[in-house]
Amino acid sequence: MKKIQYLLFAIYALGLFSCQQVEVPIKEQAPYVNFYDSTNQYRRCIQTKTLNFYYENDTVTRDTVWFKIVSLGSVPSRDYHIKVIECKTNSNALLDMTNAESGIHYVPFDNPGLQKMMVLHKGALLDRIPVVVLRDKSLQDESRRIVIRIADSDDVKAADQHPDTHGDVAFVALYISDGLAQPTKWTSTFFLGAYGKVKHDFIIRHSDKKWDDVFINSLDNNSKTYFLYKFKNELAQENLERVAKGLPVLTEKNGAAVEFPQNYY
Amino acid sequence: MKKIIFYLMALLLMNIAGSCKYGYDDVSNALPDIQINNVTEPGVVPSQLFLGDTLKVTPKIVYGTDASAKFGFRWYKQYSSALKLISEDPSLAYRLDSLGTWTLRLEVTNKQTQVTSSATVGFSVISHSERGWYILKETTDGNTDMDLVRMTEAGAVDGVELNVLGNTGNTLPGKPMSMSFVYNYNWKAPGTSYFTSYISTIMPVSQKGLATFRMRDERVLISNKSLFFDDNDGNNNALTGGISSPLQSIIINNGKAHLMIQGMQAFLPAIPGNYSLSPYLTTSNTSGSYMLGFDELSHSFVYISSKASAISYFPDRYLPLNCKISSNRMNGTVSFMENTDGTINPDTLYSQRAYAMFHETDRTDRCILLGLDLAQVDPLQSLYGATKYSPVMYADTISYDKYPAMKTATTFAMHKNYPLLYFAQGNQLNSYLIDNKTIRQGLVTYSAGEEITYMHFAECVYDTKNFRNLIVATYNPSNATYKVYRYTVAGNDIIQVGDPFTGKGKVKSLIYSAPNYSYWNNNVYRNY
Repeated sequence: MKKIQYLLFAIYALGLFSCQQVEVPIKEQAPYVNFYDSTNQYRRCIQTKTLNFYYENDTVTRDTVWFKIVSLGSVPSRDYHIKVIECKTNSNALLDMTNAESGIHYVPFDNPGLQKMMVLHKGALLDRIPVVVLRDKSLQDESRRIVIRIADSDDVKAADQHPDTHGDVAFVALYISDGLAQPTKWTSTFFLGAYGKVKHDFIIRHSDKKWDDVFINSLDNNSKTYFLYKFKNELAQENLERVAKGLPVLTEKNGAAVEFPQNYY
Repeated sequence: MKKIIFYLMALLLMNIAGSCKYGYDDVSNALPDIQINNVTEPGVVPSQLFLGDTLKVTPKIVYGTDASAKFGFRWYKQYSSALKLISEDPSLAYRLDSLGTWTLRLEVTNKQTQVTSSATVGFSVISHSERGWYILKETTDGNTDMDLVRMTEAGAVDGVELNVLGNTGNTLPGKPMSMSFVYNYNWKAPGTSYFTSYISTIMPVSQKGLATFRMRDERVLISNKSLFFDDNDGNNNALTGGISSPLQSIIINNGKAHLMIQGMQAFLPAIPGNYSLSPYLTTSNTSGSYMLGFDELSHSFVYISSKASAISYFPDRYLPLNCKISSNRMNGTVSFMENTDGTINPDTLYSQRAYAMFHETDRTDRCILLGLDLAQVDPLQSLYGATKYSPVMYADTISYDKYPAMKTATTFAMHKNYPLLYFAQGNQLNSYLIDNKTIRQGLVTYSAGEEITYMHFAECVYDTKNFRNLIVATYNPSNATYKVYRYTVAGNDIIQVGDPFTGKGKVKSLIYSAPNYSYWNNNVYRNY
């Protein structure tokens, strides 16, 4: 009996001193990086941006567009150099236009100066990398697109570990121009009707607004009603003045008269 | 060891056997229900209460025959998916601190048995300022403000609040011009990114400013330039008037019309064209009615449809048996126009018409009382109306030699149920019976210092207690005060209702507000 009692006491004493705080180890994986997808929808075209030199004065010859990137798998323990390459894809998510040319429309990604900014910084879960766009004269006649993806660098791997087919990886798109270009938000069901450059120029002149994607995105339904009402009336007035001067009514390059829908939003 | 185990097992068995002994009586001793009285019964809590009032409820608890039982009380205010404890007292005394529909829940718990019973009661809380007379006035310094005479549901005066615009620093610059009710105003509160719709407001308009005033909390939401979409508008205001229909509101600025569709937050740019609208506008009783107005440039009656891109004119086409008077190029101006019930077109049964006082440019010895068929501004009247014909269906030449009182008439108002025109001369109220062409002078004569500045036949059909009152406002310049008289009209008898409202300033317009905004909106044509 006494042996049992001693045994029980020993078990009890061991139990008292057996618990101690132990730090839970954090499992560090290999570092990965990709462009940041705010929607978590697993899209291929993760981000879309536009840059139009049309709204800048003539002294502006280049501009920088930043794309967000996200660290995956680990928190960077040091600065990681990011490698970006052109992505050759014909995805339906892209607007149909010619690809921009490196060195003509944008600073090449292997440019030493640019490389210094292609960094996922230490401790940063989210960061950003630049695309430096050049204001080439050709952009006045034709818009271009820059489609890029992240590739493996010496420091960090692309989160898209697909074979380098371009067709399977995530990418971002930047549309550039130096003239009026159809905003991505101006679709076939846009409240101002079919797109035309002359119409686009007309509404910019008559509202002093950019009518780019950012502005279009900010419109509420009543503001749309206001703009449609305003443009219809002012177009009618402008056409009256043109006719009085012997000019034809306002038309697009293809000869189609500029018109706005009759039905309000 | 075996003995120890044996004794332990025996002890355990004995405990099990004796554990259920005291449960035998449970089935036969049922607990009484807790009855909560004097909470949900009709009349205990009114269906409608006022913001700021203290709700007092004293429930009566009945618990079988046991009068000594003790209870705990928990009063909750119920939200859509949550309960908020507001009191643990046996009687509730709670200040109603927000507008809208309230649901209160009472839980009563027997402290001994912990049995709980509950009761729920609902009611609506409205503002004191949602029912009453809003008086648009010219202040002593020539600007515009509003007074509010609050009314109870039973129709008694419930207090006065003066200068409701000025109290919040929102006095409008310039003299008052008009006041209208906007049922569905859309507003984005400062600091938010979303609009709130169906805000019912009053829109006072002065020569140089305008505002949207939410009656529920007496708050000016937006005023002046912010009430125009276009940055070019609202800079040099010369506002002359405006009205509202269930479809849209209109204001006239520098002679041009601006529209605000119901559900919008601001006025659209001016309707283009070469015109100058007079401040006199009216509508028919159809919810989709156009607005009838008068263009002072072309001297023509015009109509304005919803989201109109132009002022429209009536054709020179005439229904049979009418006066064949064109509504275009009439060579004169309009000094009054209001709608009333009744048919003016003998070929139809359309029971809405308007009368306008017309003054020819080259005549000073007479005026013409025009009768207008409002079917012409009713888009649903596709056969005999809907802008197909001239709206002028009646013309009564009023010679000043024969009716000298009309020459000096300053203010007019139509009876809203039959063709009786009230007009004022100084401090005297008169009437002109249109069908018989007879004048009655001196229906009411006010004191020598009082001048009639405003008249309107207010027909309220949108409150729990409706009324028909002829409203007459006077102004005494010696002490810069106004009086507002209300009368019931029965045949030739005009009977004053209650005491006149008084205040400082000169009345330009009045509007009666009632909490049933939707119904008010359906009957807003009565204002014009």
